[in-house]
Amino acid sequence: MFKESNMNLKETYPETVRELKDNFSNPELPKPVIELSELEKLCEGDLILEGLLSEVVDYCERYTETVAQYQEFDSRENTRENQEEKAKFDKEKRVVHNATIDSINILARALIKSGKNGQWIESLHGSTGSRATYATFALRTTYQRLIEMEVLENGKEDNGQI
Amino acid sequence: MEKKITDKSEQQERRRLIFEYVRLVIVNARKNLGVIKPSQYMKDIQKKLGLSHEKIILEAANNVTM
Repeated sequence: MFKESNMNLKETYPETVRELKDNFSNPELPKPVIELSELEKLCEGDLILEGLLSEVVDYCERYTETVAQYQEFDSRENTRENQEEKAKFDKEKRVVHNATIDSINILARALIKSGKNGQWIESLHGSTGSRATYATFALRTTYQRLIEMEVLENGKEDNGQI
Repeated sequence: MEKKITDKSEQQERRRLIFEYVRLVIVNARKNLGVIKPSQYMKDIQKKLGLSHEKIILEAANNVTM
C-alpha cells in the first residue's frame, strides 16, 4: 500500500519529487581541508605568498577542468577509439595533477617559513595523505569558488558555446 | 529490462552534461576574469538538467570520481 502511494506521488508530481531528490542528495558542498578565504587571510599583504596562492588557485582550476573532461570521457561509449583517447588524456591529467600538488606544497612551505599556519599540509601528505587527498583539496577549492562567483544572468551573452 | 537500459543511458547523459557544464564554467570564468557570463549553450544545459548553476556545481562536487 505504502509502495503504491509512493509510486503515485512520483507519477503525479514528477518535478517536485525530482527537486526533493536533488536537495537530499546534495545537502551541502564538501569543504576542503582549509578554505580559500582562510588561505587568502594568511597570505594577505605578502606579495610572494599572494602570488603562490594565485598559482594554487589556477592549478586547482586547471585540475578540475581536466577531471571534468575525464568524466565526459567516462560517459562515452566504451569503444576502442574512446579508450585510446581516454588513455592519452589520462597522461595530461597526471601532469596537471603533479603541478597542482607541487604548487600546494610550495605554498604550505612558504607559509611555514614565514611563521604562518601551513600545518594543514600534514593532512594532505601526512600518513593519511595521498595523491587523492590533494585532488580532493583541488576539486573542493574550485567548486567552492565556482559557487561563490558572480553569475551575470542578464550580462552580455557570448555567441559561441563558451 | 529495456527501461533499465534507458535509465542508465539517461543517467550517463546527465552526468556528461553536468561535467561539460563545469568545464564550460571554468573556461567562461577565466575568459571573463572571475565573473560568469553564461552562454546560451550553458543556459540550455541548465534547462535540460532542470538545475540552477549552484545545483549543478553541487551535483558535480558530490558525484565526481578521480
